[in-house]
Amino acid sequence: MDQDITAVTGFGNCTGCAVCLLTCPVWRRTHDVLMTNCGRTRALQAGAAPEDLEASAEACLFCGACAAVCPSGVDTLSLTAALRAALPQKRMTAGRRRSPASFTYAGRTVLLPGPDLRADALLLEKLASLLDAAVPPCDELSDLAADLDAGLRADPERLRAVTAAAGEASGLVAAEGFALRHLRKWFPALPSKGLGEALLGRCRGGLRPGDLYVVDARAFNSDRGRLIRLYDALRQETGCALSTSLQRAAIPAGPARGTPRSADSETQARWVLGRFRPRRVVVESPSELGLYGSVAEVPVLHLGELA
Amino acid sequence: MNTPPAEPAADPMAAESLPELPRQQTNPSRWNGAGWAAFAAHLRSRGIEISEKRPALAVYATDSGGLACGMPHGVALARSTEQVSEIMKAAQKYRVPVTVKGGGLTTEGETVAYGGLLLDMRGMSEVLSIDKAALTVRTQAGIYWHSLAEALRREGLDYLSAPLNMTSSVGGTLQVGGIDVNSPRLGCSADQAVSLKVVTPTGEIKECSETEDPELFERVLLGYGQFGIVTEAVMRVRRFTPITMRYFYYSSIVEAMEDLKMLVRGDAADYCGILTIMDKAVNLLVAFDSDERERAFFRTWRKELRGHGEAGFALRMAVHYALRPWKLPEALYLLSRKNAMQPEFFPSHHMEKGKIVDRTVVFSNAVWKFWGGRRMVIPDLATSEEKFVEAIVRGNEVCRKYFKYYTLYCVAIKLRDGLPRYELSCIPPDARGYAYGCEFEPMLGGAEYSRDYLQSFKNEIYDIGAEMKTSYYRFGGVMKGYIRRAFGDELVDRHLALKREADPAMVLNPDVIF
Ligand SMILES: Cc1cc2nc3c(=O)[nH]c(=O)nc-3n(C[C@H](O)[C@H](O)[C@H](O)COP(=O)(O)OP(=O)(O)OC[C@H]3O[C@@H](n4cnc5c(N)ncnc54)[C@H](O)[C@@H]3O)c2cc1C
Ligand code: SF4
Ligand code: SF4
Repeated sequence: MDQDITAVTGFGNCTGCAVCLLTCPVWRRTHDVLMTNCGRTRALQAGAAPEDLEASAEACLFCGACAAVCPSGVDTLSLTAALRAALPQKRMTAGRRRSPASFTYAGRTVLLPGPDLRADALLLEKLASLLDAAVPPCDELSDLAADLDAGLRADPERLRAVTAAAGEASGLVAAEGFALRHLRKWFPALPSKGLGEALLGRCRGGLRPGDLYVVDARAFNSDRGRLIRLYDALRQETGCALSTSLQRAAIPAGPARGTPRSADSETQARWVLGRFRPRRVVVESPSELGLYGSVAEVPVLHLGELA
Repeated sequence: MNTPPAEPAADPMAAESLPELPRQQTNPSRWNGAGWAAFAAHLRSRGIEISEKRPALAVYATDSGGLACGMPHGVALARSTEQVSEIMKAAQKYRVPVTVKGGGLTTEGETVAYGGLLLDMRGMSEVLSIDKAALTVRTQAGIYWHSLAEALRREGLDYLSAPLNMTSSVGGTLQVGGIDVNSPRLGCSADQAVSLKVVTPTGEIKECSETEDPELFERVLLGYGQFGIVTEAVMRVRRFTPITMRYFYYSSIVEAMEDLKMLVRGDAADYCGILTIMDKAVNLLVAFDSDERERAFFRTWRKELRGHGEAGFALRMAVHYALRPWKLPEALYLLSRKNAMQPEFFPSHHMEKGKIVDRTVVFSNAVWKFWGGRRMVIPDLATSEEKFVEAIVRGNEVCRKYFKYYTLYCVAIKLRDGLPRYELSCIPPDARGYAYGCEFEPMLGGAEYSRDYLQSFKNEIYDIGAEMKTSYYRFGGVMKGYIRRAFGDELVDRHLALKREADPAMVLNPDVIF
């Protein structure tokens, strides 16, 4: 391990209480504590090396539900990212596609769509117009965030170049919730929101009792302390049901960026639907639109379509 | 079967349990590993996965107490009753100790394996069926109470009573008790079991209940994992209701305990218990499943209570500390603790029209946040109604002697008098109608206490129990030296004989009780 993971993540504070297991989709699937954050921290406390925990670290979906509920404040996502980064075969992030210099972030709200929303040109256009947001021609920021989550180390040059340009924006909206953790770190002074939070102002009026509102778990968990109140108010105001768990954390059905949808995703989506038996499903995350559409027997639409 | 025991002839707590000798309880010695390789190979040949990798073992190195440490030779995740049965048959044959772990919330090393196989029951965590009409659920026993609550909620149901933390398992709880703040009305979790599927120490699979093989049923419940591994349980459940919670504050633990007893006897509230900050701010909490019950409480019982509302108590404390300015740090501690804790008990996102929904989550979050730690020392005393006040007053004195900051948590448990399962359990032999329990939990914070210091503290609390002939909730593992002192040789020897008969090689959960 070439960085002090304890200092970065506070894993030494982990009591092994297992509260994080209760929201962990990997736990739900495997019921194997070693595959969870609780297992990783306890094994590290007992002297395990990152290589010992490779399968466990790689299985994590980076949904952040564990971090959201941990009573000891362990920075679980940084821990898993650090473990991945400490694996021998991990390299520096490759420079992927960059936005051309002609695209300017300066002074604009910028929507970072990610591959799934990009694939739905009509929806992307609608959301960008609702948010009055510019859309960069490629996903350089969220690509970088995904690389870091995957345990690749940031090429300082690339990080500087990408963040310098985006730091000029007046606000960022991430359609992929996992990126928010990084965006807030890179641009502490810039408002960075998930797609749901950004759209709610325009779309909440379309929600009604009988709707199941599926929050983007990764966005919600990244700032749960604040969002929990916002969404609770939404629930009370509109009468919709929220997809959050008994612990009020959000468990994603969709897989992590770059991994294919599996039967596990469908099982999780069915589990969420089974709890509420809704008349209609409204989702925040574009990548969960198709998933819920394929398992729900009721209409499924994106939040933006309510406007 | 004439199988020699895995350990050298089990020595039922020896001289060290004599009161006049110093007792420094320690981990048991590690099993020597004879037969492990053949055992593991045998199980693997039958398709049972055993992990011997160090990181997998390391996860199980300790329990919630964090003081007893040990390493198994291997770990298996329970996956089915049949697999567990295979494991136990092989364990008898090769004389390999098997330590069973559910949530692992023991604090005295009862779920720590000092060699042998660690069987993690959480691999069996599915809810199998819910009978809404009969108000029962059939579940695999490794399931966390939280996950059970989650599944039940979908049907508008809830469990009856369970520990105030979400990460204990149903199976583990049935072995030790399971006390909730509604236990004064509903009893302990073990008394809510309708039937069990059990793998006996010799690997037989049996169903048991109060009518089918009642002897096994009574042995296994509150049996500390000695007489069988519960793989499935049918539990009674109830309709889900949000609850209203009210607090009354005392500066005298004796008054609060007497009032608690009065409320319990009078069936005045659906939930009640005492939670303190040292013996300075004593909080009697009551809660209700319905508005009618709450109204009846305020009509009949409120005037009988000596506790104050929050404002009245704050005023009294202000006067108290104004007259004792040298105690300002204590006053500030009380205030900061109260300010930190109160919002956690009424989080707006778990409230609906002034009522708490998801009490399981609310209580548990608070428990882990304010009382959890990498090391936890929670000695306790379980007494009859008559002995309750004296035992707790004495325990409180011990807390004061050892620690600046601590908490007492007291509850009552309704009993079904005369059940054989209560013998040699946390239910005190002389309790009738109700048993009472109190946990004494120091706030260890970041302070470094030596193991001996903490052990001495536990011993002093437990000495009170031995002297007063009470019982304990956590009497196994490192504290088992007290079992003979509290219960006497005759009873313990009778149970030991039963254990030897049921588990000829003495391999299931060794070192916990006998
Ligand atoms: C912070 C904290 C708070 C607590 N609060 C409470 C509380 O409010 N009320 C309360 O009652 N208790 C409480 N406890 C104690 C703890 O919850 C109980 O010991 C718990 O219910 C045990 O469940 P478990 O799944 O953790 O069992 P474990 O600790 O895993 O096991 C307990 C015993 O049962 C055996 N066992 C486990 N599973 C099985 C099985 N399936 N079949 C046979 N034997 C098995 C084990 O070998 C062990 O001997 C608390 C503990 C902690 C650390
Ligand atoms: S919730 Fe936090 S303290 Fe508890 S096991 Fe998980 S990481 Fe550790
Ligand atoms: S981030 Fe999600 S998948 Fe990964 S350990 Fe935490 S809860 Fe589990």
